[in-house]
Amino acid sequence: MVFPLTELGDYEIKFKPEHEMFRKLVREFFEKEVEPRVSEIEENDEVPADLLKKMGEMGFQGIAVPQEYGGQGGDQTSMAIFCEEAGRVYPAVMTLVGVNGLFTVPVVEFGTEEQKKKYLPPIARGEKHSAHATSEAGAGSDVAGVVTKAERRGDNWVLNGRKAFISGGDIADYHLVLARTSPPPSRKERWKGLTFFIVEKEMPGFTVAKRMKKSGLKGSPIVELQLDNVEVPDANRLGNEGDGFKIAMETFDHGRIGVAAQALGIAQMAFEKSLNYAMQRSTFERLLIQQQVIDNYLADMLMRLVSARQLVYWASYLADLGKKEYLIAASLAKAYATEAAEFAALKAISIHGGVGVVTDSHIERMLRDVEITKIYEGSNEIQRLVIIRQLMKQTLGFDPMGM
Amino acid sequence: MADIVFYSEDDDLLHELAGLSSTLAAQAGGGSFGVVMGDDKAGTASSLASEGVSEVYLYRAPATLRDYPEASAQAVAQVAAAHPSAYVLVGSTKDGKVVAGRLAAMLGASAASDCSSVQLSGMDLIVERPSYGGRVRTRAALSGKYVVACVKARAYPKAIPSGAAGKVIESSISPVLTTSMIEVRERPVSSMDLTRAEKIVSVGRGLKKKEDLQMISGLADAMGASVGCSRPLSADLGWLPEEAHIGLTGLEVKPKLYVAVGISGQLQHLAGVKEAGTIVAVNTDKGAPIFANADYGIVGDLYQVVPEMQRQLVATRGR
Amino acid sequence: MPNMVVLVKHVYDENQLKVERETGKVSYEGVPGKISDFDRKAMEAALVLRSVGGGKITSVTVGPEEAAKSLREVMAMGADQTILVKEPTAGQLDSSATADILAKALEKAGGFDLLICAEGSVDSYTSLLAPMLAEKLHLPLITYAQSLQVKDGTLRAERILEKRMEVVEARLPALVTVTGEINSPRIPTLLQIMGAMKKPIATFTLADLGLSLGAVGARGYKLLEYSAKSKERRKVVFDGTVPEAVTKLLDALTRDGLVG
Repeated sequence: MVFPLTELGDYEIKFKPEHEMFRKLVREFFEKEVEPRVSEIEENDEVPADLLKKMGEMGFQGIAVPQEYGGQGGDQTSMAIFCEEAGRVYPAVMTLVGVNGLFTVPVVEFGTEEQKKKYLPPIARGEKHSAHATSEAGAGSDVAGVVTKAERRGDNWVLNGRKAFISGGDIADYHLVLARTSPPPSRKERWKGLTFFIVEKEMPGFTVAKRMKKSGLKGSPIVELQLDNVEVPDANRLGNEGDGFKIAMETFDHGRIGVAAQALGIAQMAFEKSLNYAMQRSTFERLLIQQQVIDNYLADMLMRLVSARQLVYWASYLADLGKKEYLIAASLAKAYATEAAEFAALKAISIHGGVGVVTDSHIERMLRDVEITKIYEGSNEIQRLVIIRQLMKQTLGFDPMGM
Repeated sequence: MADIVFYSEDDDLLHELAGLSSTLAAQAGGGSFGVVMGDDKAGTASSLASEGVSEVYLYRAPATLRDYPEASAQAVAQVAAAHPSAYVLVGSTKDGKVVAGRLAAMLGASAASDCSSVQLSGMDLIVERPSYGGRVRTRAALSGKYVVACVKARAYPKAIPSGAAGKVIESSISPVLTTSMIEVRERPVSSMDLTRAEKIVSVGRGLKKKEDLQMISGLADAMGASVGCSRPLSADLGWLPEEAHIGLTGLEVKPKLYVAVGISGQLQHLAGVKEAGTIVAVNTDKGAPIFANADYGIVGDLYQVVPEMQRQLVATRGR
Repeated sequence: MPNMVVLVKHVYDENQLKVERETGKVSYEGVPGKISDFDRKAMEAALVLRSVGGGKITSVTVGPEEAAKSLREVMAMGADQTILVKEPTAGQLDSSATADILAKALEKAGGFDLLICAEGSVDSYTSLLAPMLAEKLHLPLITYAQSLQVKDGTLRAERILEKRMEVVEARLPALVTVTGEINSPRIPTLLQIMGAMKKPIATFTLADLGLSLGAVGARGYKLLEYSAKSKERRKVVFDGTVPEAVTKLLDALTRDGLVG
């Protein structure tokens, strides 16, 4: 129809009645249970255990896990709605809960029946937490550059290495760790020879080495994990030996929409607060909203906010239909929404003036929280490459990067 | 030609309804008839008789009849049914509305509750009452052989004894009671009735601990104001009694000055202060809805603003 | 094992009413609906009783087609079955008409021991429906209940009135209205929401119940006018340091004759 899409149907966005009800109730939960505790979490850089428990009981960790494994069996749109509403009130909590998806999704897609039955139900019910450990100090976007090693020893694998920037790594019971099981056959094929393993926190040699302080997403800790001769049974290998890179890419493909939605939530709140403020505060004897400069800012914010919203739910709708085009849409959404949210956060600070940088206003927090969304889950620089490569693959049948 | 029948379990309301009934009775070309339940220790029945009420039906025994709205409904129905056509006014209290509802069903009458005004227009009773949390004022016309309207406390002034000689008629009823009273506990009514207060300092969730109420009272004293609160502080935390709770499910107040401290301004709270003369808001959140519903506001920490207000009031205004 | 019926109402969202600033005229055109806030508390009260003593919960409403949305919410919370009496003009019916319709609709619920509703609906908050219904159905009535207990066929409740607190009892079957303080309603999970979408809602028209609009209620209530009284607030915010802002505020209040 219109390049790069072929069918008119590819441009639809549709919601079901349960999506609306779910959104209303997630919003109610976050405004009632999370919002009042935001200051406390910012202060302590920790989400209270009772709040984590409540979220577990609401089934938020298992939104995308199939019902047969104790999950909610929700679709991508439901997941996006959760991420948006959580991001609207407090993005850190969305990350803390959402990061479980980076464990559950690959297990659902590539795990054995035993692995699914063992690990998914407790995570889905919120009884256990999980984390995804791919990143290292020297390998972020460059997943193939991972140096953590896994050596075969009889029925087990022995893992050695150090992982960095692992979200939720300190509270996780289960970790999905990417390690190199065989050297790459050539420089061009660095992505070969990687494998995922499920490591449980009690396994000897596995420690949470360091917790890193960061500017935003307070309460969603990032840690370094140290693996010293950690023995992992072969039964804990996820997927085939050497499948690690492919599994990682598919996992990130799935999580992309969630981060886009999280950023959308931040942009939404930035806009709501700015609009509210502009309608109440007066300057030079007129309301802010009667000042053209402010109107321009608000309009610019809204343009980006609505565009981001269209992209996010278009991507989730395509994903729910099982259309391959969702990959392009998801990358577009992630790159655009996170940058739109940063724009919105900056403008919100401008509109609020001095108050915008006062901690208690929770306006400056949005800027601190939004920065990482442009970086994690596939940095926006990577997203731009994905967009073009995917476009080429789909429409012209070849990948310009030659991979 | 129609008569007015009125009832309330509350003495103050009985006197207010008496005045209103006499006025309406004159317009309707009929008489006004009051109903008093219980042992009448306060002598209300005879007072009403001297306030221009034609007849007062006193259902004296047992004294506990007053506690059972279904009994009162049966008594009032009995009185109303003796008149070919009547406008029945009931005090709009919680139990009053129960009486009104039952009464309306018994008499096949239309009914309206929480009326802030009641007027006759021809044979129709025109009432005004709030809807949508007080955002909307509804005007309706009630008509029919019998009509039931619940009138809000203090909507009308109390009747004054006019030396009229109405009759007190001892009456009795053998009510069918379907509930039993197990226990009654009087709730301490604060000495300051917030609904009559001219100035109120009201506090909400912005207050961090109960002990900090002292700071609020300090300001209230300096202003000559009473202390009120939003729902969380009374219902959830119990830091203040239920009588201090202002809002949709609490009190509706009409002070000249209302200072809302650490209150976000949810609809449920605002519903209680719609009629306030001047509203002042103090809140750290610039975006809190209270500011859009206030005349004056300060965006700041109440722990700084409140003591400063007290300080300046005492210092420069010599209070 | 009491079988319970919970009454709910689909109302206009009071935060989204359209008001003409100059005239104060209120428009309901395109205003979204929602479940009356306290109805979820009534449902929660029923769920709590069910967790203790078992029983089936049916939820009933009289409303336009959209009212099904509210029924789905209480289904997501846990109602076993729901009944919708579909009437497009339901929002304009007065309490006596609604009571007549509900009295008939309840026959379709297959018997009940306990009828629960909120003390009032957030739109008109008349609090008249329950006493009217109790009178029509000859049911014992307990209103403004802040706590509920059912034991051996008897309902015991704490009533909170203006000047007193009562503990009252009634034999089942009975009707009880609950206050806003009674509980904090549970938030259903996505799983429960999806399940609720699939369940059927038993739907009836007035004709199905043998009723007609012209023959329900006392027929003496005529709505004359809705107007949004909104006292214009000045919305002035004083800035500066705390002492500066307070001085400006007190000066303004002194000028208005409210302090000093």
